[in-house]
Amino acid sequence: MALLEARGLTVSYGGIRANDGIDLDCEAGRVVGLIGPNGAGKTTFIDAITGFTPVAAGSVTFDGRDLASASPSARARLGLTRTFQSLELFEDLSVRDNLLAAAERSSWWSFVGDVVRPRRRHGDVADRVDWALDTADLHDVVDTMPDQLSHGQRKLVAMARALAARPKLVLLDEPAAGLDTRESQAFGALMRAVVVDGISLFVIDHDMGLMLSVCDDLYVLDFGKIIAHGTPEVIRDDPAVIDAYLGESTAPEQLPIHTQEHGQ
Amino acid sequence: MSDYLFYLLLGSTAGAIIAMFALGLLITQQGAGVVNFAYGAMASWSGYVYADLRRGAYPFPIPGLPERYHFGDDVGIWVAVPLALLTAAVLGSVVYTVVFRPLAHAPALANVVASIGLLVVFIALIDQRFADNAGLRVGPILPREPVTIMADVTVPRDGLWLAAIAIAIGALAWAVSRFTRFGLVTRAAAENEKGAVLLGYSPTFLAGASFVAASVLGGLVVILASPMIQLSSTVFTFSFLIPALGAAMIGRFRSVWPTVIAGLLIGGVQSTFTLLQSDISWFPKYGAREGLPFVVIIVALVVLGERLPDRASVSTWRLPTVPDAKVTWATVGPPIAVAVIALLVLGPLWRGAIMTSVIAMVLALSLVVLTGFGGQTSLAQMAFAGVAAFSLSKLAMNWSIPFPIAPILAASIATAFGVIVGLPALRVRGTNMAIVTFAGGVAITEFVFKNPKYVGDPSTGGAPVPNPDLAGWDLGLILGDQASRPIFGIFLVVIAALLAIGVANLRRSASGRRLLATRSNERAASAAGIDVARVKLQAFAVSSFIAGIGGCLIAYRFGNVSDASFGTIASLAALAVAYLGGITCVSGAVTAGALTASGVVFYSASQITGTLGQWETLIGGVLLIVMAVANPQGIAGGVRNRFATRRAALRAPVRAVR
Repeated sequence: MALLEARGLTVSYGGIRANDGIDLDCEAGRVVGLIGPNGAGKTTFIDAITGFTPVAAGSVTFDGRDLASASPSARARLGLTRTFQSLELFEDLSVRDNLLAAAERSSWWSFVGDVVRPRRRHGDVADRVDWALDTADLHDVVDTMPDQLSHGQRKLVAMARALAARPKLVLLDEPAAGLDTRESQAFGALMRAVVVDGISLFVIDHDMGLMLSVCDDLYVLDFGKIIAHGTPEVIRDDPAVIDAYLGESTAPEQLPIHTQEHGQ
Repeated sequence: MSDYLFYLLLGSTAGAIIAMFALGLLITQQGAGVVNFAYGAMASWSGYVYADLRRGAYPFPIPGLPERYHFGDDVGIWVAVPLALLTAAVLGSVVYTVVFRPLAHAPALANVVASIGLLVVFIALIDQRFADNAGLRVGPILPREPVTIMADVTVPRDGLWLAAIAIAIGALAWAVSRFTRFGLVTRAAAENEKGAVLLGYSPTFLAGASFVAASVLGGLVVILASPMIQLSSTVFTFSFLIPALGAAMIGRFRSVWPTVIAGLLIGGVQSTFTLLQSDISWFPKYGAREGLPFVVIIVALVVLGERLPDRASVSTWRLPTVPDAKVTWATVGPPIAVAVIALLVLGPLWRGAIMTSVIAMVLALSLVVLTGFGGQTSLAQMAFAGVAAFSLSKLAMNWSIPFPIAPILAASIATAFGVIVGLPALRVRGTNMAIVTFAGGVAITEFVFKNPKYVGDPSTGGAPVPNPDLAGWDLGLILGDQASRPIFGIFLVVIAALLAIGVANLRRSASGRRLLATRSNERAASAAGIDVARVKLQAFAVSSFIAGIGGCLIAYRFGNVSDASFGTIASLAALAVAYLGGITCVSGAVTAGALTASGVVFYSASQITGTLGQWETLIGGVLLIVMAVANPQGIAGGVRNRFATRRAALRAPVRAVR
């Protein structure tokens, strides 16, 4: 059984089906990618999986558990975290505190103890945060506020925050958007390193170079429907994919290898 | 049934006032993106100008100028009304230009604070210029002779006239908004300011015009109603403004007809409560009138959903940055030492000022947690304090619960109220939450604090509270023939210091990070596994607990509890002064305590100038506006920023050399 299983997942906005009966698996220990043109419904899919948008039909199972009734924060606590295209960092917190806030777990009464002993740590929170800082190479900026960082560093903070609680699966929403080729390659290496450390990834991006090189498994989405699924080699040559991207009767070599689109 | 019809029609006066106030609030919100909490207070001033003109004088609103220009005799209605409305127009224009225009892109909280400052200023002005309120009677303007609607339903005609005028003005506003280019552009600007600019209209002009229009409308309402409703500095300021906020929310600050109809209905229904109280045995005798707008507001928010136009909602509800908290002997020791020495060395008046400041600091701390850390807002803080104070009296007097336990229990009861008033925060943000807590605080004040069942007989000075007594050691302010014991001051300082350290610790802890994460970005917080609802309720719980302790301290100081200490104005002032001091840190709360009315700063200033006392509230209000406009970070934040800039400037060359 896969770590994450979406079955017949459907999301409607008004009369439009942004996601239409999507079946998708994320196996543990792999990088699964989802590509598709702007407006295909990629971010909607992440929103639906993480509980940020209501699901009209279908089911999501994570780690053997049906997520239908779980709130976004409950899903995160189960080990299913995400990043945002617009990063959404905690601008009032330093880089380390951004990660700590994501790694720490609380109860209704934890603030009573916090008032008396503010610096107490629970379990291995500090280790997890240090590991995330190491992985994203952020040790030089731990006490910096997010608004003092470069765009590339902010993307790394967003990634590290999603990793800080050592989740089982991280959904990355366009992690390479706005990065130059070199940064994008470095990000690819970071993703592989994360998988080696035992965290599975699901990623959507427009950077075809990155996606084809880093993903083990690719899905292609168009108008809310999955139109192709396979290894990067299979997807690269799939005529349906080429159609979706560039219209009919286009030669395979014209597939956009490196696009730099932002947003949807 | 005819009885009910009678009361419903009798409520048409109140309903008309509420409807037109609501319309004025709608106009200001549509045109300028501001919910003006001072609207009723501004309108009251115009009403007073009219009343004064009818006895032959024009009052000047600026301290230092002669109080009035004397015409000698009643100037007559045809001079008085235009002059009073002109005053309203000028007032609207000045208030917009001086206060709200500079705040157009400031945090929404700065707008709320500035309008609270305005409200305080106008109440102070009225109390100064019209200290002899009772003597101010206004002759009838609208026809008065009773009209018989049905066999046994005869009501005065003027209320119905006022309702008819409200409907006519509603129709006019609707027509302007619907059929004129001006109305179209204003509506467009409310949705999208840039769009209006592209159409060639200045948003500044639209906003200014809407302020003037709303101010004239408010003035007109109060003038027409003044023969029917005794003028006072608070009746239009609160009693009609809060239901008007409810009616405006029913119309989502957008639609004229729902707003006007809701306003008329609220007035009518409130009026029938008089009858319901005698017909239904369990109907609440106190607070029902004030409870209704609160219920209306909650229902409007829950059923209709949150829909204030974007300009005044989440995106602009930014707050000053939160500095890291440092708890060391060097940061905690000196202020405590200074306060204790001053208490021991200085005279009773100084001691009184210090005590006022320390208690105000505690209340400011409660808002540091809620607003500074949690990003929520509360205009009901003194209501929570009052709940604790009255509970303390009951616990200590009726059940003889001893000192440290009774105030903690009392503050816990305040916590329960805080969490209940905070519940809407799970759906509501920013300015809307300010409106909810405003109405909630007033409902608590009227429902609980005015009810003899809970608070005892007010004519005996309120509910008594015994001195704090720690295992036989009396810590009270007054003991035997000692009227101002320093030990009580030291007791206050110790409690305040403990709370301050607790709040600073909270800031540094995991809970503090969760609060700030939620304040920064709720979506990201829930994506990071933070239960946003729980965090918000915790913020309300901690905050109202601290406010409750503050209420207990006030009770211990005076030895009894009366609703005078815990009114709505006090709640507004608490938020305002906390914001003024710096709402995001403990040092800000200390600054707020020093700055509070009758606190150490005002006391020392009045020692120097001699006559400051009578203008204290007014100066406080003006300062508040100036601060909100000039320094949205608060005083402590501003000072800190200047230090940080200087330090950075000193460090920069060093780095360059390396």
